Amino acid sequence: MTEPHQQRGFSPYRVVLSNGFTLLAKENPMSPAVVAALSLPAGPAAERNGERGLSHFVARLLERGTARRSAQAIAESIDERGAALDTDVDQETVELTLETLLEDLPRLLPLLAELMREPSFREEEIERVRGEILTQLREDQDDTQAVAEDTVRALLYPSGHPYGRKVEGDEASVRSFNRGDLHGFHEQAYGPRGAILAVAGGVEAERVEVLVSDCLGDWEGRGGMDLTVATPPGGGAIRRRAYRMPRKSQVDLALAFLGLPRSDPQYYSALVMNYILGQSGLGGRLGHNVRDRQGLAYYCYSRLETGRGPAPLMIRAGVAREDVDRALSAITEEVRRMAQDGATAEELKQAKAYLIGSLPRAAETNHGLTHLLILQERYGLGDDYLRDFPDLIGAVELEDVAEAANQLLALDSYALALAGPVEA
Amino acid sequence: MPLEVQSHRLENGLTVLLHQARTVPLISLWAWYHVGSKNERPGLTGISHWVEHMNFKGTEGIPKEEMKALVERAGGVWNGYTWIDQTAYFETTRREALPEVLRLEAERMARCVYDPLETETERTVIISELHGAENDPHHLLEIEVVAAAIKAHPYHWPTIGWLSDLQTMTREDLFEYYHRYYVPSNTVLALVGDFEADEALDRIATEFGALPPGEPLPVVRTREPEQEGERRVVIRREGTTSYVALAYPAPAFSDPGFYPFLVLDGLLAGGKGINLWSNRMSQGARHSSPLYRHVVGSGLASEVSTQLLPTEHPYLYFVWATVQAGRNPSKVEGALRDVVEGGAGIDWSEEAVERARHQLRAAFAFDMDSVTKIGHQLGYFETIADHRDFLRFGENLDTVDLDDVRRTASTCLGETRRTTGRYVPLEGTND
Repeated sequence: MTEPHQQRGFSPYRVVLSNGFTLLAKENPMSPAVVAALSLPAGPAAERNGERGLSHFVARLLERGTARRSAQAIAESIDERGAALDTDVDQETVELTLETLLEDLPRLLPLLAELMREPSFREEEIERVRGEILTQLREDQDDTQAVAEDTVRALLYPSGHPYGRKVEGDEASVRSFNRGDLHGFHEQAYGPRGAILAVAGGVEAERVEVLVSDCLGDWEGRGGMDLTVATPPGGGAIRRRAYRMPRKSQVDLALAFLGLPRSDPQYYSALVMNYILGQSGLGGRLGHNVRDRQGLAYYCYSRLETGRGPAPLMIRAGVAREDVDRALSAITEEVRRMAQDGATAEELKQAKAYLIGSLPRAAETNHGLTHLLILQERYGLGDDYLRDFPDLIGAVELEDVAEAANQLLALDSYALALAGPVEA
Repeated sequence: MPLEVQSHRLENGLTVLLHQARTVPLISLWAWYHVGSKNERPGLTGISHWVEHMNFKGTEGIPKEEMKALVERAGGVWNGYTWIDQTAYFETTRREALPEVLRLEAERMARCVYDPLETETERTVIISELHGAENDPHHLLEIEVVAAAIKAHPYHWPTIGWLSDLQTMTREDLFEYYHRYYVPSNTVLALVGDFEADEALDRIATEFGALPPGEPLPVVRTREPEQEGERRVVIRREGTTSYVALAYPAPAFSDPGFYPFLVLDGLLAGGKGINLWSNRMSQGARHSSPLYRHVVGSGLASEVSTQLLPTEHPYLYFVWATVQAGRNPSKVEGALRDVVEGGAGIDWSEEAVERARHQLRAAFAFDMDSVTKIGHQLGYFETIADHRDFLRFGENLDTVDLDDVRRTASTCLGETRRTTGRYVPLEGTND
């Protein structure tokens, strides 16, 4: 069976400008639209101690005014074209994603560059965004899923480690930042080094290169960095914390293990293992046990996160108060089974078929394409990554899955957080 | 926006929509059943949604594990959802799996097993879903607002159902409801992707053609009486943040007033399109919009959003705001009304109308960027109206002018038609 889409390969058009800025472009000829995703290593991993939430605050302010344009003018430029600009911050990176119709790219891509390069940090905008973030923090305190996740991260990683931080920070730190802090972080963390722009849509790659060179080729920002994340020491005891929120209807729990860096050659074995443990169908073995067989939860699954360092393997579930112990028993039992016995041949076959077979879907849309391009570039996976992916997954054997499970699913050393109407 | 769609109807009433998109080796198959929470009655609320859950648990010809396995083998994703007018199921897989997913949906339509033990297990799963949703103050507020704004029509109760109905419904209730509504004459199949049309139609005829059409189904006849004055609901519960909601009766998708209302929403908050399957529908108001500037830009609220959803019968237009910490919720309420009812900051001009139209057209294009989304839209609109009305989206927008929009605002958005909801957080819970 020929697969012309994969045989063509996925090699994107790739250019590194003289200032270190990287552009990746993928033509998607049938699309009337284009997505331009800008990824910067300017998340919490770039924060110093005492700067919790600063990277997120800065990212939120980028679209609130530049040296040349007010927040209102920026909003009008985007809105009048029916375009969308989204800002996302995770533990490592800031990502600005612009979606527009083709004809608007020449006008809006330079705007995106301007937002990133020269935000003005006007006082009234700082106070507006501060209020919004503080409200968001208060909302999260009332959100059982957010509390469970934030708590488990803080338990899993040593104090000060970026993966242990809540991206938005905390009330005290967000209240403390002034214009000098915000501007200073931008100076230090934003620059062409480590910055990646991925563009996918009905564009011509060479034209995009011209556009990007024009608006970013002369960017000299002192900042920018190669993303590095410390590897925490493993081991240690089981850490558990419960937040009692008595009037909530359900308990949300998060149980997390240290994962492994995305660029680790063992990653693919871990991916396959995690798929079997907590992704396949309704949540892999976890979902099958906790939801399907026992009816204890509407959701129960595990997710293997992606990072420069050992991002977590996190199990999540939402259960009734009276079922917490039963659910935890079932979860730890499934984890133990996987850690001790690994997967079955049938499970391995299904998992590989799924992961390989899902590639065309992952690469179907402009959003999917830019996501893959950034992943490929950020973690050094190579231009032939998508073409090689089937072989990388295909090479995973039962003993690889068993080894990944044995190493990662450390039942004597995980973090567990519960939030909701838990017993005190 | 020309999209070539072939429309067929089998003798047993099954409607089939086909759209070929051959640039990626994928297919997306959607099965739409014209049954949702508005078809329910007190005592059986939540049944459509529970039936949807049961329909993933194995058929006479395909055991539950094999259902999952065949989709996974094909690198596929599958899911379903239930709402007020419809229940939908889909698989998006590699193109080679078309015969298998067609068989899956044919089996699902007629031969689901409803094992009694599985039914009992699923009862607690659905109650867990209900409780999970109740952890969210927005959800609690939405239920109260809808129930107050819609008193007679069966849109009144939530799709998840009332807890006591979920606790008492029986396997026989579910099985009977399933067989009544899951019949070819009540179904739309939408297939999008890389397939041969003739071959696909043949297979569909083979898999579904022998199924009997089904009995005629009861029609929902209740019309919501006109609202003649403001309604107000308040929830006082532990929490950290205050929320405000406004709701107004809104036209159904097929009503002539729908497109003017859509453009009006564009003037208030920015046009978001009409794809329920898209994140866009629940995003905040655009930053240049009057609602955002007046309510968030002023520091009163941290977020404001609106929703006008395409429905079969008249539903509601929602405006939501999150009160900023330390701010007075009544002021937020007032600011929302200033814009929505008082027109504060609204640019009543042809340019603004054209801007809203352009935003809607752009959203339309963005929300058709995958075989899954196209399959969703074709099936969704064929179920509640006619897919051709959906395809005429751009033309219909072009017929809306400033007068239509102004008239819609003065008729629909005023105190007489308003339902206000407040979530008031009580102190001292979660520390």
